[in-house]
Amino acid sequence: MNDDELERQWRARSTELPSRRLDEAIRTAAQRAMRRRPAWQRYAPLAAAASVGVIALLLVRQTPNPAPARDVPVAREALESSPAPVSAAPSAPFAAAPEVDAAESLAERSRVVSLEKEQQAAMTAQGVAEASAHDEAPASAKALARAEASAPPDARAPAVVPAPAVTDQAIDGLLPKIEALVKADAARRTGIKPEEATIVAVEAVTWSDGALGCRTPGELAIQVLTPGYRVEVDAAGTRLVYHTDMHAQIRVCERISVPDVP
Amino acid sequence: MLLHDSHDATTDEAIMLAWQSGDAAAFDRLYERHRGGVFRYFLRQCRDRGRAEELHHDVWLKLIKARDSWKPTARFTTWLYTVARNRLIDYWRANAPLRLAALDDDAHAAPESYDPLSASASEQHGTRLVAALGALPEAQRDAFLLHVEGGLALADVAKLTGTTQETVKSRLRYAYARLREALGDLQ
Repeated sequence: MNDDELERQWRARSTELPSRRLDEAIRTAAQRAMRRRPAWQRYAPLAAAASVGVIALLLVRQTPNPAPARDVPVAREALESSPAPVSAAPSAPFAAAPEVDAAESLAERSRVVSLEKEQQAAMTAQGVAEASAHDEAPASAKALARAEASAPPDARAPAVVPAPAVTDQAIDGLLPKIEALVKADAARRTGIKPEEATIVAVEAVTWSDGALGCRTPGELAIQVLTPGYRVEVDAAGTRLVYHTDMHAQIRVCERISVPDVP
Repeated sequence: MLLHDSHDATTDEAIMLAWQSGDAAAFDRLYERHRGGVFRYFLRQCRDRGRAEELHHDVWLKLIKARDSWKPTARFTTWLYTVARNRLIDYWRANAPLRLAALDDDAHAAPESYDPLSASASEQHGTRLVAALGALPEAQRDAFLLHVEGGLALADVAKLTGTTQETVKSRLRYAYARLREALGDLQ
């Protein structure tokens, strides 16, 4: 008897089957499994509701509070409006980015850099003492330090950190649109023309929240790292420090009055 | 890697895929094909109908649970008998630990004596064959049942049992010889 014949005999005689009751139980279990929806389908409505809730919460947190009375929105219209009282309160973020003439902004930036260089050269030649005697002395690191020392303490204004000197690279790193917005806002607050405002310092900063590190009391802000700039502007002797993002949101966070030197 | 013949509607893999995609009748076809083989695999190993039914039930419930996650990366029968063999090992581990190592031990004799020579001449072929199979070492019986009852190829038996194809061949050769010997005077 060869292997095939042996297998045939085995199969012919090994014919036991599970009981009918067991067969039915297994088939019923299979049918029940077919009717049962997969886990992801069972929990889909719950997951969808949770997602909607999370999105709604994020939207609420991102939406800025109604601006407090002292907050003055910085908008495109403000560029041509009459001078307003100087306020050190943080301004509300922009609703939309105004368009700025890029060529005009570039020319302005070049002019500022040239002016700064000339002023620094003059300071070096005439000496610090002589330079400080002029009432119209430009913003320099020394004058700024003296202003910080003599300025009256302002409970709301954060401590003034000496700003880094303006460099071509830093100025070039500032987006023209932001630069124009900052100057326009500074001019409006101090009653001068935008071209008379001078950017003193620019520093790339990553803010820790959506309010650019400049929240008003009670304001909610999304906790998200926001790259931007800290821009210090000299407007007719008044230093304004703006916090910006990389787009069109600017907030004035500090004001430093530089006293006239007798 | 998907099996090449899984597109053939008559293969186990195609039926399993049909069941996955919602064809309720596909399970009945699959069960009808393999219910006997799986049940007898347990019955010959346990030699107890009640336990065999319990293990048989467990295996099919496991298959039902695995319906959504199953993928045709291997032959369905290889997967089915892997599940069955693992369930059997679990059963032995829980009930007769000393038999556990025997599945891979060719020299290990069955704990119960099924001496075919002691069977009376009036016994039928089937009784003698079953008795002779029960007297085989566990590894030889396992290889024989997977090959003959499960319909697995030698390569699949080798893969499933973690041995080489030559080892499986050797185990089967010995098993056939013992079964032939048991039928000696009835041939």
